[in-house]
Amino acid sequence: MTDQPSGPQTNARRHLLWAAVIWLALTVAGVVVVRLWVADSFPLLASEEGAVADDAILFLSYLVIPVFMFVLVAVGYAMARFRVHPDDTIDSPSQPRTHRGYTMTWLGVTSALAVLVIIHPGITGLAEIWDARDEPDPLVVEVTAQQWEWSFSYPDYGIENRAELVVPVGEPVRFVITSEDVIHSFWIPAFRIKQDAVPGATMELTLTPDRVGNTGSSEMLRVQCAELCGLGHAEMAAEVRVVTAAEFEQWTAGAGGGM
Amino acid sequence: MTVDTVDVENRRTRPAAGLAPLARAILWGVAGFAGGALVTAALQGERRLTELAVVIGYVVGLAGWQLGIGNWDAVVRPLFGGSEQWDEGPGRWRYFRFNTDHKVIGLQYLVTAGVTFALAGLLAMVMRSELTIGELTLFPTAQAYHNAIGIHGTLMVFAVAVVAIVGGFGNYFVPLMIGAEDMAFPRVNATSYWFIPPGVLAIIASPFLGGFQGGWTAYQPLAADDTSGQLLYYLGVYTLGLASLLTAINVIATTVFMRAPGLTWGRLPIFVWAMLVTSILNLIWVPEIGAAMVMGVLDRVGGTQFFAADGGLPLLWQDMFWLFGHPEVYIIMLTAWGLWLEILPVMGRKTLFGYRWAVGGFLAITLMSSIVWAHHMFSTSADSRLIPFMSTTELISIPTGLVYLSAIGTLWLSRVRLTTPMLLILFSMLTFLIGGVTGVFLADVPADFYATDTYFVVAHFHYVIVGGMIFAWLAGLYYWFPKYTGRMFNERLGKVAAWLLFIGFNATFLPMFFAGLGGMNRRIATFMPYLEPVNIAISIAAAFLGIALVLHLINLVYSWANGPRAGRNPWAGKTLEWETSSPPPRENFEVEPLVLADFYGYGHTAAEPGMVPLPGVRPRPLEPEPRPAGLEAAGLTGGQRQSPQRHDSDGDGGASR
Amino acid sequence: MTVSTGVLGEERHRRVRLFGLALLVVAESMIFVPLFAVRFLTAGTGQPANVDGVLPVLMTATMVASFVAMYGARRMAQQERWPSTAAALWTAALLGLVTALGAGIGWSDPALNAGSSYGGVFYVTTGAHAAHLVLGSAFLAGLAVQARQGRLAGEGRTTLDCAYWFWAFLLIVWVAIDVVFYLV
Repeated sequence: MTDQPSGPQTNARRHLLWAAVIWLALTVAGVVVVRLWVADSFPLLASEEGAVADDAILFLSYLVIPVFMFVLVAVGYAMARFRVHPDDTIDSPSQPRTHRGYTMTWLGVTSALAVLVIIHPGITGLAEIWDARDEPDPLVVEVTAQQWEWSFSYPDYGIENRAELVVPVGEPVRFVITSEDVIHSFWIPAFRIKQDAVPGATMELTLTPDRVGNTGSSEMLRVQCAELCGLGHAEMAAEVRVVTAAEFEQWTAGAGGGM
Repeated sequence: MTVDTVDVENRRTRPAAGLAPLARAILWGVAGFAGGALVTAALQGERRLTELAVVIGYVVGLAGWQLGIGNWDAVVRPLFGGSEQWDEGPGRWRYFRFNTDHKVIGLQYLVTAGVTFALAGLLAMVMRSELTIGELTLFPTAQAYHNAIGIHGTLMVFAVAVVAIVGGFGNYFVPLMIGAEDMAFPRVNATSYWFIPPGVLAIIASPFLGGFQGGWTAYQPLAADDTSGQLLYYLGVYTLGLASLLTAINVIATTVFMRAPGLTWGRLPIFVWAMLVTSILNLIWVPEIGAAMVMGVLDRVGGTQFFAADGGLPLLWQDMFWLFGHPEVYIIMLTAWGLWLEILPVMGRKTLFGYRWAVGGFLAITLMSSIVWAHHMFSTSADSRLIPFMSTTELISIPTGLVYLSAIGTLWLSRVRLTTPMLLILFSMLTFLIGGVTGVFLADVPADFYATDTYFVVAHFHYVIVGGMIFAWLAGLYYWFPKYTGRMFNERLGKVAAWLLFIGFNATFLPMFFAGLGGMNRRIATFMPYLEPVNIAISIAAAFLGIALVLHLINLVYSWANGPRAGRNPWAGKTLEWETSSPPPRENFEVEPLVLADFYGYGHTAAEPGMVPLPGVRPRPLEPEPRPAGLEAAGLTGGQRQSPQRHDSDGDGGASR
Repeated sequence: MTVSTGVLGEERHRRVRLFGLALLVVAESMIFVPLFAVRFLTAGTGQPANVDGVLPVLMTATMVASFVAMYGARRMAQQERWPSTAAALWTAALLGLVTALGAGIGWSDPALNAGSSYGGVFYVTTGAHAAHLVLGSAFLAGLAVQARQGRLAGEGRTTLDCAYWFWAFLLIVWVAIDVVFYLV
């Protein structure tokens, strides 16, 4: 199947060249696929901080394409071009135990990639998510999780224990999250970032909704418990409404009971 | 040179019939459980089975089981001055006995892991059937579904992934590959296997005590309030851990002390390196999780409140669990990497590339795996933990990459014999890769906040464990099939099944990444209608995955009975296990092998690595053997197994030519 | 197949078993180290007032005495004085049991309760140690029987050495428990 014996050196170079060309083509193809079909088809996104998570996933997707294609080409090329009959036990003409250039390049590239992803999108993304905490005067929503329901209170407005989460668009919201019993996780898929609710502890999460909508318009806009919390875990969801500032004022006036 | 120098003939002096020892073990186990439980309940003044009674009964029953199967005859009676006699059984009965032959134990582990894998896999198939529709239909209650996810996960992780390769191949092939005649502590080894059946049974039996809701991670404080089946989770996992621990002690001691003459550290087969580092991780972290399991039990029956919501630290459980749990991922994967690098040179007729880099990678992973655990807890951790653990987790990809460096370096320009094991190894390289790169996503805190606890994570760890380890395990089952059965499998069926497995696996788990990002959270039986199409697609693909696994099973089982006879070395492999007959005799080698070079040299300049000297002749090693003074005259006659002095510090070996 | 061990083989045989014991000690340590960490995580430093301070001193004394008996047993065995070896082993086992009994008495201290952050981890740690003492004492009793029969010569001596070092380990763990639970 392969033309091994004569001139292994020239052959080796030719194989390498072909593999490089295929790798390059597949990498470009992969980037195009991600750009065309993945980049714009994330599920509904409705918070500013959530965009950081989407960006991180997209960035990492681009980053892993060449890495993935490298191994895919190595394996696929070997399967296609280096294949011999199973009974053929002639040794390969190429028998390196080490190769300084290959190894050092490998170490350099993988180390650089690892450090890169720590810095970006890791640390930079985290900093961006944490930025929202510094916003002055966020709307405070107390989120209480218990088996198997959510309740939301708005201490600034004297609104307590609502089963539905209503937040205004474009304003930072500080969710103050507690649990009455076991560990739950507060997650609105459209907001992306989740935070566990731990009994005996108070967790905070500040997010800025940036799109009006509600659970009826997209299922991504729902509160969903994400940490296994018992038999009712799957049904532990609550409706979400992201409304304009004016609508929110109206709602608080109505719901607050004459404040 | 085994430590238990027991005369096999002597053991036969008290012959036992067929399944008699197993029957005794069951009897003593049941009697122990009943006695322990009844006495405890009576002392508590209760007329029903309390949780404390279950725990005490289980401990006494487990002891009775172990004594009954053979520890009474092999350990306790001799300890108190009695005779040291037990019957290891002839023929097939050996596999149902307390048998100290590492090959018997290896097959016991392999078959038990295979049966457990089939059971837990069947549960997965039932779960996938349930998930074709967003409402609870197939399972009668939510509890039943939770039992299924809990048992599936617990068995797959603790009774298959961590024991199939270490317990199975580790026991069978480490002594063979280093030219030893058995493990260092054969009786400890036999004991270790007999912890597996009760551990598996305890977990399977958990629904009889109401099951458990919290899945295989058993997060607190849910587990503390859970139904009593949770107890059997703790006890079962603890029992399975004991097996891993004893195996770890054996593998390490065997590798350090029982290598054949000339087998320096630099010549140690890469699979043995993998078993060694895996065992080091088991040795250190299994007792730690054991302590956590005991604390979990005491929270239920002892009045303690370690993980209670009030007055305890619920998150302490997560720390203790993942402190073991992440090294465990490497306990699983290192074994698979060992298989990759063992099989690639043989099937490619090419020198293992970068042996030392791969070993260095193994060691670095072993060290680093203990400082990454909190990446399982990003959405619950203090801010100060996020960046350090993100960093260590991303950095561990560097030594992991070294495994690929070695694998691809070996594969490139090799002469690929695309046999079933080779095909599965190549598939394992690709599927683990997807698991690995999606791990980079999950190590990234911003992306993890989004993806954690969703089907993205489910897809990720199935790619790692099934795509990485189970594929490699299957490859190993085929690769060594001629050795442990003496027969050959059906190559054509094997390849068809391998392709079907690869396609079915990817079709099943690739969509899960998107389902997770689309809002499908983990461990749910009911979900919103918009998630139904993707789940139906996943379930259909899962059926193909299941069919592929059944085909593999058929191939292995049928060929074991009916395959054509295989010679001692059908793959033209160079490691020592191929230097003896298939299957090997009780003492493995007629004469202790002598290792003259490492096992990965191919090409016309390569030296023959190992040889079995003719009986009665002891060839001179190439290097002079320094001997302690005074021992020179100690009866070193030919033909006997002597204990050679080796240059253990000689890391140079043959690896750096 | 009977394996014949020459002098050289016996020496390696001995090293393997001591090495196996060392591995066991590493594993056992990884039970106690996390428990010590949990003690500080859940209860900080210090201990509840009124915790009996005399008992741990007595237990330390019996534990040390037990170890001294073990040391004696090892010396006697080296001199092949088997009846004395047996007596010393019985003493060590008995004192080990007494120490374990002390742990039981400590548990009934009214100043402690299992549900408290200090009490819980105190019970688990001392309980784990006491369980080791009970099983270890049973093992020593077995060795005492073997010593009587003169079976601790040769290969048996390695067994005795393993028991000795394991007993040393249990003594060290007890001292660590003393420090972690009573002194800090």
